[in-house]
Amino acid sequence: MSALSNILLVDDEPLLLSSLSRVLRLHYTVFTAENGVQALDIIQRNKIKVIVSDQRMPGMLGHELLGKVKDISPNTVRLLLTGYSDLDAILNSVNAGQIFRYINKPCSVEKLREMIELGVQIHDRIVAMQNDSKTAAPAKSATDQAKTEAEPPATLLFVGYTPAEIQKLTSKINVRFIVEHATTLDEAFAALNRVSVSVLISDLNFGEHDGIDFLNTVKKEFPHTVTVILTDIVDATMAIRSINEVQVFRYITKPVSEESFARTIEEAAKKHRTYQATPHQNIKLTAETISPDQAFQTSAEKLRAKLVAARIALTKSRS
Amino acid sequence: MLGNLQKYREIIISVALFLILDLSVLVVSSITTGQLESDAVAVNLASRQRELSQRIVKTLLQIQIAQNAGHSIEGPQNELATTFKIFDETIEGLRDGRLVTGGDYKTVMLIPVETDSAKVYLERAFLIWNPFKEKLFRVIAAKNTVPQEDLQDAVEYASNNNLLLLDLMNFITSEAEKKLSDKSNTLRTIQITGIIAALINFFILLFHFIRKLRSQDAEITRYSENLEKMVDIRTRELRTAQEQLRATNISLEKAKYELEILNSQLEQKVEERTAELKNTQTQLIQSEKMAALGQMVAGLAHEVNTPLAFVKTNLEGMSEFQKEIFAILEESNKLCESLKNDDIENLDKHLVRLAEMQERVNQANTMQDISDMLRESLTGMDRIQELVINLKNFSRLDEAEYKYADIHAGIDSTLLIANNIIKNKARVVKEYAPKLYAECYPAQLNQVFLNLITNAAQAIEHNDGEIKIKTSIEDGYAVIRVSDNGKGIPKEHLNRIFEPFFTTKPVGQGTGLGLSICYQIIEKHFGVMHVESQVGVGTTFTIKIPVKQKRDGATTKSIRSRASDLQIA
Repeated sequence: MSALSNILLVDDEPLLLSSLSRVLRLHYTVFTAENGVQALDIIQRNKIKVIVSDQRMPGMLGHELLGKVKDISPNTVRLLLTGYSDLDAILNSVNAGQIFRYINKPCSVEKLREMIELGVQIHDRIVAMQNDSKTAAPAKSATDQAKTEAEPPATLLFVGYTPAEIQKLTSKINVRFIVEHATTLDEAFAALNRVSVSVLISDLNFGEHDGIDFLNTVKKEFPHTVTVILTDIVDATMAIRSINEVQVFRYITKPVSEESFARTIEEAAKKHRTYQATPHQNIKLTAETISPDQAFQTSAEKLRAKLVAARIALTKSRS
Repeated sequence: MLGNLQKYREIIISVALFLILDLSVLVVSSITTGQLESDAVAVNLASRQRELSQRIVKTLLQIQIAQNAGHSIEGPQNELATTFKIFDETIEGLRDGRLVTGGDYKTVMLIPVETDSAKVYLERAFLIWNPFKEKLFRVIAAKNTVPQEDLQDAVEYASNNNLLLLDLMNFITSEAEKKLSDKSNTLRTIQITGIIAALINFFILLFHFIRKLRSQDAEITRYSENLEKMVDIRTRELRTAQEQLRATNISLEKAKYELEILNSQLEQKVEERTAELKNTQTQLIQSEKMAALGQMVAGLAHEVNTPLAFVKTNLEGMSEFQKEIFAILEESNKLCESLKNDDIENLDKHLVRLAEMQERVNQANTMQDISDMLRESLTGMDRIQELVINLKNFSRLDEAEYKYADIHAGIDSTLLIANNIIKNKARVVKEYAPKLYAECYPAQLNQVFLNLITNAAQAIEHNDGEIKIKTSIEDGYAVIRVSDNGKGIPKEHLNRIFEPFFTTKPVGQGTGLGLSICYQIIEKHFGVMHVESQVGVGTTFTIKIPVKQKRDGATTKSIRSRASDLQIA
């Protein structure tokens, strides 16, 4: 019992903190803070595996705090409690890569415990892998940087855009790349089976199929493919799902300038190389291996079936 | 003028010619006539000379007879003297021209003879007359009796020469007659010529006039033809114009009719539009209300959510503890059973288990936890209850619409409602008067307070926000000031903020009706509302409403009716 994991709860409501710490206390060493400043202080003094913060707090908002935590303690897994949706803050935090999961308030103790437990395990796994890679190849990250130029061109798969739109979007990209594009999900699956896709750029609006489910399906089969959502659907629930279910790299709302899109793609391509080189960095993959999603929803099942069908078709045609 | 002269030149010349001709004829003929008269006198007197010479001879003879008979010779002698005198005058007049005694003894001017033959005859007559004159003079001069010899001499001379003298006088007379006839012929010729010339001139003039008249006629005809043409054209034009006018008139009438129709349609449309507008306005006010309500509900949801979250957590935790406590209870029941049944074997086992359980519960401080959980949950529930009561207070649904109400209570309940908006932005500083009551529509006033407090919180964009609410009583007015230290309102917006639909928020994030509705509400309370602001320093809204509304029925009624308007809106 001496080796309980450290977790930190941040909320401006002391009674919520006390109630939560009571139910978590048996399994974790629980630290509490009533505001961002206190929380940062605790983070600096203790090794915190998981931080759970409320979004709405006086002084420093939750996503701001988590952004700072990411810098101070990058391995700390960050969870955000959102009472009611604050769209701009959510979109910002999604794209800043600050958050592992969004949790809706109120949340059952059981669910919260699960989430925290997942977070703790991911943290431990990442730390362990970091130690492994450090001992195995201490200077690897440096060589990675040097090798960038020699890397094969990034393959970009656009799903749900017109060729003209793709032409325009890719006009300012500075790294070498190959463009694949698909208008239907079947085409997308075919493309994914045919080539190794570095970055998947997708809309969310596919009629009967749920965009997030599509990405989730892809992520399960091709965990190293980095996903970017480019859509005109501005919806907090979608944004939260894109993080919680797909761990999306960027959620971009239209319109977007070619320059900033190019920057996003360059970063995504880099991220893809990092995943290939050091798979433990892939938090989604780690999460999946620890706790596979319980049951696929019907929509997702259908999508998975499509993917399998596409794969079979491809194999047949090759043989 | 010159043109006129030019135009009348011919006439002037003709008339002048005519006048000259006539005048000259007149002059010539008058001269000639004068001459003719003189000539006639000459003829007459020359002819009279014959008679006079014969009378001289006769009187001589009478004198001779009378003398011879011894009678007085005075009578014939005087007659002779007179006759002699007249004859002498006349013959001298014929030669030299002079005044002589004419017929009837009037004095006339006698002009000398002109023709050469007449002059010759006259010379010869003088040759006879001069010696005769002397002889006669002696007869005339003699008194009483004439010497015979003189008388004889005279009679002899007379009988010898009288015939010759008579002839000569005849010649002279015929000469004069001839001259007279010549002259009268000339005169006639002149007169006839003059008349003919005048006539010619007249005809020329006449012809000229006629020609002129004719050309004028032609011109007039041409002119009048032109005129007619022009009149025709004009008439046609006029007719066309008239027709156009008639057409215009008709179209005007038509337009007027259409206008009337349009007018009536317009009126109808205006009515429809007004209705639509009213409808839209109602909808807008409704949407503003809904927006405010949405904001309020979201805030309240958050406010309720927090106690709900920890109460739920506590209950979940307690259900876990409950399992342990139930297990202990069960174990102690079993222990009791064993005791009753003297089941020593099991008794020991149960006792150990129970001790273990109790130890675990004690170590985990579970009992303390449970009491804390219960207490805190109750606190949470209290908070939720407070919120609900406050919501009721804020809306005042269960109270009289219009009453003498505690303004501070209204502000406080509003602050609780708005807590969610304020709490992350600013602290609230209250500077309340000891007591502040006013006759009002409390729910509506709360709406105003909520709007002002929300605005104040939204204006604050830094970490040191402060919202100050100050109340006082001034001159029978309840005064409420809501100040913030936010970004302030630019001057150009300041006098527009109470305008309906004025908003600086992006489209879709505010109807711009909030403050205008507040303004209406305060107006309905016969109060005033104004704003002071400085960019970067802050904003203060001041509300003043009468503590007591006027007691006269009309005012109260009007307040009520106006307030009910607002309710409808």
